[in-house]
Amino acid sequence: MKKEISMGTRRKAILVALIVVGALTLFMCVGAIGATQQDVSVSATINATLELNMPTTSVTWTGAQAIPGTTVTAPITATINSNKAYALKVTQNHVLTGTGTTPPTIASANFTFGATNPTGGTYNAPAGTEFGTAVRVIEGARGSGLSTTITYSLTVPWDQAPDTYTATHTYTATQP
Amino acid sequence: MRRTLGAATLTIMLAAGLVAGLLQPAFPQAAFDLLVSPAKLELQVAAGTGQDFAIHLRNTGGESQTMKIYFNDYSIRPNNDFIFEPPGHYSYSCAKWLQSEKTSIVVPVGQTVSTGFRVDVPANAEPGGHYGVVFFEQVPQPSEAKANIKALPRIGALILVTVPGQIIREGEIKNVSITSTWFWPARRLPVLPRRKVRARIVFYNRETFT
Repeated sequence: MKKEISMGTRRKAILVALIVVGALTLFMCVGAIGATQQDVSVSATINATLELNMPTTSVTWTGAQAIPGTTVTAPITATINSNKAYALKVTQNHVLTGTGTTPPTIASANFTFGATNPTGGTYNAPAGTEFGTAVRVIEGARGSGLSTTITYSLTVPWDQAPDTYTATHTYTATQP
Repeated sequence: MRRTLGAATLTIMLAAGLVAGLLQPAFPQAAFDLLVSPAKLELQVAAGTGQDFAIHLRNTGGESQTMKIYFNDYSIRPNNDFIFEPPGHYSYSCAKWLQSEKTSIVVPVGQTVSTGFRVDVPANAEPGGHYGVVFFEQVPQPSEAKANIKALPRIGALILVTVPGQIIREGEIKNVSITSTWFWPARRLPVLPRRKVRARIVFYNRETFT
């Protein structure tokens, strides 16, 4: 008798469970049918962007370093981040020039530079490159952390008059 | 004894520092790290109208930077070499049409600063492409004035303005002459057969038509 009652309760419980599951399924289906499709338009414009990093922007040789008959060097670094091909050029305002009304100058051949090739670089100025107008330093494809070491080299001949010689070098970064 | 030893050590350290300082070039630190966006901007502006635009600068260096703003013309050689010239140098320049709300801008450390520009296309502007460059050039600090070499970093943002309208490119080949170093005669001779003369004319548009 007890067993029959238990069996009946179990059947009822299964029936109720089935009804609940069925109702839920129907509810979900109706909800899904009722939902409207919504498209989300996504757009992102990435600008051509260029970054130039030069930790050192001036070089000074003292009299104790620029001794006649010697060649002194000094490295500076430039790092490019660019999402397009880039070019770095250098233009001097004039050759290394002393002071006074008729200042002496240092010949271009005695003051040169060279640049190391950055990762993925397509051009780097070889050692012995003379400064001038829009002289190519490095060129390359897009990328980040594209670093070059630009080594200045100054040869001081004995016939160079003692003076303090200066020049300004403009480093121009562009995306061709 | 200890005091003497300490003084001697200090003297040696100072001397070593002095020698090291003399042997190495002095590098006054003026770290420069500037980002420019957009570094290239293409605009379509009708003749007789103008358009505003902005360029953003971010200073990720260690010092506040004052940047001078000015314009140039530019041309590109076939090997991608840039040539910069003063505004108005080239006939297809737009540098003289550009205006900046500022002649210089201060970009504090870690900040992004936007600066406004405007291009005003004259009513009689020729349809087609007109080009210019906006330069952002570091203003050197007074402490760097005595350096032998001052490296001035600058970043150029290229501006390409297209003036809509009918663009006519015409040219005329007035004369073609061919010279050959080939030993076989090209002219008809009584005995020898004549070889065919083939030539190809390549016409490059370098925008210097007259």
